Formats: sequence, structure tokens, C-alpha cells
Amino acid sequence: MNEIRIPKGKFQRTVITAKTAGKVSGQVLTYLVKKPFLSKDNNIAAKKDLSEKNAETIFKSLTFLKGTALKIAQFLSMELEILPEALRKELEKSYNRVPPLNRAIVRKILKDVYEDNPESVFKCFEAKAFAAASLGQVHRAKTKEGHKIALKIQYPGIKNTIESDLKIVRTVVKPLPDYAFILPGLDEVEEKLMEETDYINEGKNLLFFKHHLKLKLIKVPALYEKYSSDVVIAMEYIKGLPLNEWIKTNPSIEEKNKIAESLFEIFIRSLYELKCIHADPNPGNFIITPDLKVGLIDFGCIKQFDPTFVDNYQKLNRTILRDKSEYFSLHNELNLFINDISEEVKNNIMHIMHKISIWYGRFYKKEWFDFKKNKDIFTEPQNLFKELSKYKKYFNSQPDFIYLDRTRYGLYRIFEKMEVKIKIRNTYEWDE
Amino acid sequence: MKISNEQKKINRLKIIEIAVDLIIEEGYKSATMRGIAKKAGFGDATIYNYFPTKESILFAYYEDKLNETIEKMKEIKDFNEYTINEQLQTVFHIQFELFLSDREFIAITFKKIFLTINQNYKQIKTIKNLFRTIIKDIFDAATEAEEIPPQIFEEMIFHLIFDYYIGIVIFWLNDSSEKFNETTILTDKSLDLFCSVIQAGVANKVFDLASYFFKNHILSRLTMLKSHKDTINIIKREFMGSNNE
Repeated sequence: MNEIRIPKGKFQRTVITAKTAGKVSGQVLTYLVKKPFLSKDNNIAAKKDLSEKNAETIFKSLTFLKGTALKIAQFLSMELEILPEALRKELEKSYNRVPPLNRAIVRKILKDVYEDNPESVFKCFEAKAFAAASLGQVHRAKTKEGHKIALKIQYPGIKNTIESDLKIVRTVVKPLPDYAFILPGLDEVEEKLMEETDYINEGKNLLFFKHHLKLKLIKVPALYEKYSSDVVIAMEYIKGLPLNEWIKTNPSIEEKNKIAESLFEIFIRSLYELKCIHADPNPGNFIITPDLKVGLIDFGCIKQFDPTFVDNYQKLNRTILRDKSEYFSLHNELNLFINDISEEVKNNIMHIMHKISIWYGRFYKKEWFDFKKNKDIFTEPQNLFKELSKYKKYFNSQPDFIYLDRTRYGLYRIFEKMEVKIKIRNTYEWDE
Repeated sequence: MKISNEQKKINRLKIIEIAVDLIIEEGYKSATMRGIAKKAGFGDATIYNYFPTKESILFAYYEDKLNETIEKMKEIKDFNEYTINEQLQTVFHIQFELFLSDREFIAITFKKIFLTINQNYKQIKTIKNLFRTIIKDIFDAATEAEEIPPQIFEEMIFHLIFDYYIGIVIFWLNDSSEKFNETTILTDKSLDLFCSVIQAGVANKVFDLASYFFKNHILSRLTMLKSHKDTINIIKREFMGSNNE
């Protein structure tokens, strides 16, 4: 009973938000009051400070809420470089540490699904969850045949709360300087979240990967359809540790390299062969087995791409270090910009993009890329991206790009934390 | 012909079952004792050996459901490991599970029984006592495990939970959400709050505070009375005097 209580009702949620909104407005107010007295440089620094403080406030409130808010917090931390490093670390911990649903509710959900007590359905069932998922929690069970399974159970009524949660978040982020930048992203988050609440769909995704991604180094669990429904998904239990926990056990550098290579291979093969990626590179979603395989366990967030998009993306990567003019003409083909754009603006954008591409090319420069020795690589392009975001209105919306970049970037950040040395050059993106 | 106790039990259950069906189909008023007896295959008079009135069938139904709840709770293996909050919630979940197939019947009869003042106070008392036993067991276990402090207002709390139970059932009857999720969430949220209040011993503290104020109040009244000693004496005298006349 001493666990942290998560507010579940809308009433309590709103109260918390009201608090946040009040705080955020207060900080904006402080900034506006200070503004006339600040020099230009100080002004920029103060604005940045403001944004970080707000992010911190919002983040603190968000983690009070279950499920959806956690997802949004993840999104905010990933999409925008506005969260301070310390907070990002806090957030990472929370991936696998959401306060649990109580046993009474777990029973009720399972009873609704199976029309029988979990004790009668399974040989044994653990009423206490052993892991948290973003929209639910995971329990261990054993079928009557003796198979060990993991049951992911969804929080009741989550579909209804996603909408109200996002409404709240939209209100809360209004005072942020990056407001216009965040808003379209939130729509996308809502859509994806709704998709993630459908466990039947997740089961289909799982089977798709199980049948098509035939790699020795990965383990996709078997699906137990008999025990699955729209709110419960039953899959084979994979023995091992989530990636973030595994890293804490101080594995050798060779072992880490091996795992990182597997993760990267999963990504590259899914992208170029299946045209469909596992788009949620959260360290809690990868289980490292004792024989050093990577277990994939969360198929809620899957992104399917149009084959022509993948082709273009591939070409882009292949030309990145080779031919500047070809690289630029490829961008024209990609329909990146709106029609109504002056040559001058376009050139400015291209100029920035070229710089970004040079940065991006660093990953391919040598045969092996050492994430430990290149720690600065993630701070380097931040100003470039900021500059680019000024031209945001000239871009066509490219959700495919966003998803792909976010996944790739997320993966690289994992590699950075693992301090590994792997081959980013791969047969799909690099000709020897 | 003498019938065994076993047979009596079966007949009793059969009458309740048929009454439930008939009330769902025809409404409470139109369902008659005679109709129930006929459908159950009993003589018009036999049914009265089991239930003196139509209303008493309803009471028997709700009593049975509570007894079934107790049985179901016993079936849960690790129930004794549950927290007080989880145990209370389970009571409600099991009740709703048992109510579900008779939801229409509950909708017709629940308010009639629990919200109108009638002469069957005694029968309500039986249901209430049964409910109280369940809740008291849970509280006793939690107190013993030192999960909650002993409650001074225990009886009042049990009354409160019974009223809460009535409220939640009515909410459930009006809940149109998928799988009655709204009810689940409401129960979860409200019992969460309730249990934290109990755990923090708020009721006990309120009692301490109240008794402090009460004592102070009485004392100040007493001193006030002292200063009016003379007046009181006059009144007293007059009062006595008039009595003597």
C-alpha cells in the first residue's frame, strides 16, 4: 500500500494539470518581466532556460499520470532536445517502473476476458506484475501445458483517457516557446497511441515479424492467441533482462558490441526488406537473453513504409558522402518542400541540410564507428537542427521521415549509452 | 409428503430463479406469486411455504448473492495477501460479476429494495448484517496485519461502506461504458481514496479533534453557567415554588 498512487480519474488529472499550467504561466511571466532588462545574448539564454524549466515542470506532472502521459513524456524527450540530461535519465527509469494496477483490477480484467478465474485458466498465475508496459503491465503465468508465458494487460478504460489526456497536454504546452512545433507531433502521438491500445493488432504485428524477420540473432516470442484479446496479449516468456538492466550487469565490451550489432541489423533488415520497422526504440523493449540474443517484446508501435519512400531513403544514404549535387537533386525528388518557395530560401535550407549531411556522413566515414570516442556527435548538430526548424513552414509534412529518423536516432542514442563500436556501414547503404 | 432439506433448498432456488426471469419479462408489478408458482410447477399455496411475500423473494436473492460473494472470495488463493483496498475492490467486482446476468432484474428491483422506506426493515437488516460481516472480516484482517490503525468509528464506517455499495450499484446500473469500465475506474479511485483516509487514521484524528472541541465547549458552557449562578437559582426557586403551590 505504500506504492506511489497514480491519479486515475479525470478530476485528479485536471487538478494536477491546472497546477502545471499555473506554474508554466508563472515562469513565462517571470521571463516577460525580466525581458526588457536583458541583453540580447542573455535573452536567448533566458529563453532557453525557460524552455528547459517548463519541460521539467510538464514532465514532472506527466509522470504522475499513467500510460498515455508516459508515452507523451517519452515523445517530448525524444522529439525535442528540450529535456535536460538529468531528467531524461529519470524518464528512462520510469519506462519500466510504472506503479502497478492492483490485483483486484487485474483479476477483473482477466475474468472479463476468459470468463473464468485466472487460477482456473492457468496452471499458475502471478497476480503481481513483473514489468510495466507503456499502456499496461506484464504478468508471468504458466499454461496448463506447462508453457511459460507473459501476459500483457491493458489499463482499463485507457482508450477513453487518451483523448482527455491529450487535451490536457495540448493546453499545458501552450505557453512553451516551441508550441507550434510540438502540436502536430501530438496529433501523431494520439493516433499512434490509439493504435497501440489494440492488442489484436499488436498480435498481428508480432506474427508478421515472427514469420518474416528470419535472423539467427533475434528471438520473437510465440503468440498464444487462445489467451489473447483486445486488452490482453499472451506471448511466450523470454528469459533475460531488458537492455537497460542488462547494461547495468557490466557485460564485456565484446558482448555489448554484439548486442548493438544485432539491434542495428534488426533495424536495417526490417527497413530495407520488410519496409516495416519496430518504431519504439525504448531500451525496455529489448530483452537480452542469456545466450545473447535480442528478444523483441513490444509490437505496439510498428511503422510501415511505402516502398518508394524506402528506395529514396536508401539512395539518399548512398549518396551522402559521395556526390553533393546528386544529393541535392534527390531532395527535389523527395517532394520535401512546399511549391511556394523562393530559390533563395531553398538555397538557405539546402546549405543547412548539406551541413547536416556532412555530420550524418561521419557515421559512415570509417568502417567501424566508435560511439565512445565520438561522444560529441550528438551535441554537434543541435544548432543545425534548430536553424533548420526555423524553416519548418516550407516543408511538406513527412511523417515517414520523422518516424524513421526518430527510430534511427533513438537507436544511436542507445549505442552511445552502451559505448559500443559497430559497423554503421551496411550492405544496403554502403558500396565497398 | 415430506420433502428433504436438500429438496427444499433446490425448490427455494428454483423459485428465486423463476421470479427473476418473470420480473425481467413482465415487470415487478405484473409478476405475481401465482404466476411464479405456476411457472415453477408448484401449487398456488406451496410457494408460500418458501416465501411469505413477493418482496421476500427479492431479499432472498440479494442475500444469496452476498453469500455467493463470500464463497467466491474464498476461492481466490492469495486473497489473504491482498491489501485492504484490493480486497474491498474484489468484493465489488465479484458482486457485479454475479449480478451481470440478472442486470435487468437488478435494475427493476434494486432501488425498490434499498432506497425506499418500507416495512421490511428487518429483512434489509439481514442483508446489511451479512454485508457488514464481509467488510468487518476485511477490516479485522487489515488491523491485525497493522495495515490500518484500529478504527474508533468502525460501525459508522461499515454503515458508510454499505451506503457506498448502494451508490456504486446504482452507478453500475447506469454505466453504459464498454465492460462497465467507468464503474471499475470509479470503484478503484474512490476506494483508493477511502483506504488512504482509513490508513492515515483520519477518522480517529477527527474524533480526537471533535472530542477536544466538545470538551472545551462543555467546559466553557459550565463556566458560563457559573457566572449566572444567581439567575439560575432564581429560576430554580421560582420553579420549585410554583411546584409547591
